[in-house]
Amino acid sequence: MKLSTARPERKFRRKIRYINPRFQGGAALAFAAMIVAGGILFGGLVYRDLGRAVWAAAMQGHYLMENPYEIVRDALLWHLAGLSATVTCLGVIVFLFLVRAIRRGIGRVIEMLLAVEGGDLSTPTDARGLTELARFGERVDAARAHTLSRIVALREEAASLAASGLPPEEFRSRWDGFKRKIRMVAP
Amino acid sequence: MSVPAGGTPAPLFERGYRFRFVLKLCLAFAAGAAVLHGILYLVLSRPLTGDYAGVFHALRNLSVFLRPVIATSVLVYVLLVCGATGALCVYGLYKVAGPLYRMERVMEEYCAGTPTRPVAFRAGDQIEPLALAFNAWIGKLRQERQRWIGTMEDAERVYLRDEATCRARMEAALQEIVRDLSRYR
Repeated sequence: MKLSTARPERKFRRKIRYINPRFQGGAALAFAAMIVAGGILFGGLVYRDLGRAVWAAAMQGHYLMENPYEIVRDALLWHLAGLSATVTCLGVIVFLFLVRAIRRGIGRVIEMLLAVEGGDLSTPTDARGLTELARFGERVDAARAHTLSRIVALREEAASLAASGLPPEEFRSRWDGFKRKIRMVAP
Repeated sequence: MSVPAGGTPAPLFERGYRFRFVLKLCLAFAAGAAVLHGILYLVLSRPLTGDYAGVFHALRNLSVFLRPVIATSVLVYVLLVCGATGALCVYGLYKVAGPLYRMERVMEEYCAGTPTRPVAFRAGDQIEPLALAFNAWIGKLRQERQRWIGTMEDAERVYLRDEATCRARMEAALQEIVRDLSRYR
């Protein structure tokens, strides 16, 4: 038997990574705000301290240094270490807050999905934490409400059919219709 | 919280994912600080040449030019680190945003009445317990649906006997289904 050596045609698809501007962009903005604040604070403090150090060195009169960096090195390195430590700590805190918010929101959605075991399809998900998760929770609520409305309709139809006292042919036809409708639950 | 009985609950975020994200964040901040230091070093390490007056004026002028130098270097730092962090948010949080997006599509399809397949996330995707919970939800509903259909088919099996018995069985099956459906609220 001759095997085909032709490779299956692959379509090139650009993978879009930026799919949720509110979520991914919002997180980026939170980090950016923190970095900008850190930068401004650093700039202000460095300008104040380096300016003072250079001015003091100019007024001292004994110029033993080879370049201005020698005057400001210690202060600059301390400020850089402070900037790095502050921004890193704040960055980690922002990330942990993000993780916590996602965990709270998704945890609530999961809890509500698993509540079907007890027959609960109507308690609002009320996923808090991030706007996007609240919106996702509303979608889950919509799916649950859709299921509940179908189930309520089936319940009413089953009750009316059971108490209908219809002639056998008509009963049979409605019975078959009811069965078809049941098959539409969670298709 | 999120998984079938008997199993250990899967975490929403893998420890490795969190660690890698924080590590990349720290690397971006460290690289930014290194660049900032490099710029300031380049500007400030120019040798002080000339006589006493020349050095004095160079230092006086430096304190005047310090503001734009620091402002520019901080601006470069902010742009660089914000860019790196933004890229990290886009690429790193894609592992959360992607599954959420796919789940939204699945929800839409479900509401539109399209047959729903079990949701499976890609390797490396986070919030996997969400897919497990959704699959458990659909699975439970399907299990119930099969039970109701089974009850109806059981009642139909006595169809070949006398009509009255069959009708009584069917009505009893309907009552049973009503009772089952009443559980949902």
